[in-house]
Amino acid sequence: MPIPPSLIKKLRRIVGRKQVETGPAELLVYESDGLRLHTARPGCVVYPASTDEVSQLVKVCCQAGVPFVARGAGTGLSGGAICDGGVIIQLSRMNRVLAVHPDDRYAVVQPGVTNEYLNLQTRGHGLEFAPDPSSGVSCTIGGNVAEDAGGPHTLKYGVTHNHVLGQTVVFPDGETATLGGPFPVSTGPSFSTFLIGTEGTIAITTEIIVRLVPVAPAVVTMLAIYSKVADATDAVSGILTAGVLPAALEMIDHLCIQAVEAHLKAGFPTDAAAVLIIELDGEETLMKREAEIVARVCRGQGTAAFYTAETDEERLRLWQGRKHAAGALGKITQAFYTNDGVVPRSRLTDIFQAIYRIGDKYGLRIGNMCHAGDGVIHPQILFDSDDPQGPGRAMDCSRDILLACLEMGGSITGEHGVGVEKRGYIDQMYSAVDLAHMIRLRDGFNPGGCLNPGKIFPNNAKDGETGSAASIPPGAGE
Amino acid sequence: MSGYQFFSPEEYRLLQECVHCGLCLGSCPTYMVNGREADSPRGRLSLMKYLDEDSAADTGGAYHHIDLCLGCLACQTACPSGVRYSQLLEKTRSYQRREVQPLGWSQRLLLRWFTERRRLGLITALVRLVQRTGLDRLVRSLRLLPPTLRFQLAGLPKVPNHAFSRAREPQLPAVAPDDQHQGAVALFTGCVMDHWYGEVHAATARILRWNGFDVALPEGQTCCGALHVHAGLEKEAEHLLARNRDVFMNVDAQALVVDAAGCGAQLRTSLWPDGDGLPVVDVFEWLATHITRPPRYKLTEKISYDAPCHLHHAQSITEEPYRLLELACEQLTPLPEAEMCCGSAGLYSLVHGNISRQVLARKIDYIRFVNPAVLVTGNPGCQLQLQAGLREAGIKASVRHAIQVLDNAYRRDEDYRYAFELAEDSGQL
Ligand SMILES: Cc1cc2nc3c(=O)[nH]c(=O)nc-3n(C[C@H](O)[C@H](O)[C@H](O)COP(=O)(O)OP(=O)(O)OC[C@H]3O[C@@H](n4cnc5c(N)ncnc54)[C@H](O)[C@@H]3O)c2cc1C
Ligand code: SF4
Ligand code: SF4
Repeated sequence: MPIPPSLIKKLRRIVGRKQVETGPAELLVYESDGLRLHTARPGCVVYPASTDEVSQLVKVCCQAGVPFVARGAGTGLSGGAICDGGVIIQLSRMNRVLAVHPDDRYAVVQPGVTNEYLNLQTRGHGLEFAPDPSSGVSCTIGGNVAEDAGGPHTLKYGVTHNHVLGQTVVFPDGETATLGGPFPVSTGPSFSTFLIGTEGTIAITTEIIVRLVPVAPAVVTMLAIYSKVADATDAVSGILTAGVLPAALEMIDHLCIQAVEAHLKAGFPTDAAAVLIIELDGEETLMKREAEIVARVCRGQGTAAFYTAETDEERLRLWQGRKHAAGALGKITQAFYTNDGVVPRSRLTDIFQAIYRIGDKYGLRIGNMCHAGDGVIHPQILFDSDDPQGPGRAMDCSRDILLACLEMGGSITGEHGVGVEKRGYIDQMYSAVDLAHMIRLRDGFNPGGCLNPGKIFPNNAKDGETGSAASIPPGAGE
Repeated sequence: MSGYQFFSPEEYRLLQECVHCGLCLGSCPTYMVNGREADSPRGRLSLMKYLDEDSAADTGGAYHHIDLCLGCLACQTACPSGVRYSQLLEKTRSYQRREVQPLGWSQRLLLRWFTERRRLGLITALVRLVQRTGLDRLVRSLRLLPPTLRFQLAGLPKVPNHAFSRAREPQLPAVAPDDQHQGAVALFTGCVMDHWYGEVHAATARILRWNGFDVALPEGQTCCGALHVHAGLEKEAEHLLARNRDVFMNVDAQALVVDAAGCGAQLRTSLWPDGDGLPVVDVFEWLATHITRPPRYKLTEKISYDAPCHLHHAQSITEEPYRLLELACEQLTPLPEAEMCCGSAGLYSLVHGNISRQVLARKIDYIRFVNPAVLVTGNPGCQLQLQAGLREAGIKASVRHAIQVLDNAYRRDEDYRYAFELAEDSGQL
């Protein structure tokens, strides 16, 4: 359904002619986020510059009954920032760091600021925003808030909701509210925190007050190399049960190592079955003791080699290899599909056995990188995009892996959110009653269902036509 | 599957290496200033695919975003899959110019006049006249010219009396002690560099000679054709390359040293298609491994380096400039986002003045924050753009090529000055 010209006119009046795009080329590029398997072309894209403009925009969209969705950088991996035939409210122009208060350790930012840019502005004060999604060079703080993003350093520092003190939001009816604030106020549950992770289905965040933490005074990064995946995963449990809490504890397996070494060259040995990246930070003497423990555990667990990055350069190279491993897959495959299932740490060894078994069953190659310390997996399922069955098979394969996670007592999403991608599985995790309550909560704020429809929940009554193009993955939710 | 219109099956496969992760977005200057996905690397790659598959569909809309690409290749450095953006961009642009939208007459004219020696000589004479008579200030204040041109005029260096290659003997012998003689190199003099930034070539030649190299300046060399390639004029570029090939084919030297990043990037990839001719090297790259007599004294001014895209991204020469500058400067202060484009990008600053200036504004903010006495770069276009930007912003910092800074450190040494007959107070930074 095309957007009524009268609405386009109104949108233009609010943000200015040039800040509304309706041309086919301009819309084409908004068909998907980082996940290409779900596509839906919007009817137009608008670029607001302020909270007030966002408020006016949503008001007129709601009045016209046209769906709309907020979008940050579109690095999401669950098809969250797409809107079939509706209005994409693209927040990339709202990209300023409004204030940094080093003494009180907080900053106020617009939602389109990227993690990298925020840290560039605060590191001079010896402070940083701790959540570090691997996409941090491009993704936005607004996107972090919507997905409650985490990253390698989540293990020690927590996810986004541990680092957001308050936010200014616009509700679908155009009402604006400022929730929380830089200093603790003890008046019942935090409404701001409740909104974090709701994937932009309740309100649009237009300003964020983020907590800043001191940059660690010293860091040690180690690489443990294994010839068996099970040895690596056992070492993960070993390290954590030995009483060490690393800043990050990551694993990458053979296939992903191949992809990284094909172009990026982080220095991972290409014949290893898996490597662990273990990072410690904090006070020097304590760290030294912890490093000894880590080395002991890793060696006891049959590591083929173990070494410590000597220079900052080496350290950064290892991290680049880890953080950009997904992006590097283009070197070894035409297409891939990934998920972010979670298992209890004690089941890491089991889930990897299951993943490789499921891959064999579908005849698909699967590479892995994971936030091992948190039990968040990222199986990268490679498939042939020229094969019409390819995407379907990959999605089925992913579904089997997610169901295995659930069986082991885990969850279907650790950081990418549900979006359209996993809405077919959510009823495997929650009972019908749980879901009904969640939907009621959402509908209380989003009664017309115009804001980001078709996401998170299956068979949504408010879904109407707008969710149908982004279809539920084949075989899901059976 | 293969492409339809202009990509070969191999190129189409290159396009597919883009996995749509978006990790390149944060490094793209045009995306940074306008926030449009269509003006991001990921968006442009999607548009290339779209154009290749169905170039009849709304070509204007999609090509507009291809036009707005600076060609800075920051996305290529950022991309973990190693997507060869530059190759895909050139292919798309050359198809666009050949089959869809020929290059506008004004750009054609500029390319023809600026890169052809004799015509550039005429322009240079005119600029010189205007500058010497003080008319340039008048022209700028009277607002006779379009604003982009006026802006660029403010960034022009004081044009020297002669083109570098005209003013010198064609062969410049080494002045190092005999036991430090290292052989011979050829210097690429180019077009605009030769006429307007001869002082950079002179500094390069001095430093090479001081470090034991004979410097050959082969006659008949011409523009490298980089601007033509960026504009999609493949044939014209090939014509210029062929002329240069003839000149350098029989030169007896160890390397062809280039001191303009843009020319270096072009010559490195295209001068010898079979890869077997005189090796093309950037001056920083060459000096980093061949400097035998580093400066004895260091400069004390606060100096910051802004990396030219065609050095940093196109040629991946990232560390060498810092290493050399450290030999010459006591206070080398890092500039945030030093590897992001300044918005110059050849003719881009003239054709897309508006967005070029927005890209520049971000850079100027950082320069204001760091407040160096001298801002260092390594490409004539960047030098002009940055100088114009600083003038407009009322920032006093001067803009120099890194080689000039190195040369200035050398000049503190009496022996160096004596060897090249330089006055004691010559070459103020
Ligand atoms: C290579 C790669 C690595 C990744 N690594 C990680 C990782 O380590 N950890 C992790 O958690 N995620 C990771 N992700 C997923 C993703 O990058 C993050 O979730 C990120 O926070 C999304 O930000 P964005 O700005 O791109 O959001 P988008 O993709 O634009 O949007 C995501 C969702 O948030 C909503 N949204 C965006 N902005 C707002 C706003 N201001 N108000 C309300 N709703 C909004 C959108 O509607 C959409 O539903 C990765 C992705 C890629 C491609
Ligand atoms: S060009 Fe590279 S970094 Fe950019 S989206 Fe494609 S794969 Fe990712
Ligand atoms: S070349 Fe530069 S301007 Fe063009 S897409 Fe890449 S980063 Fe952006």
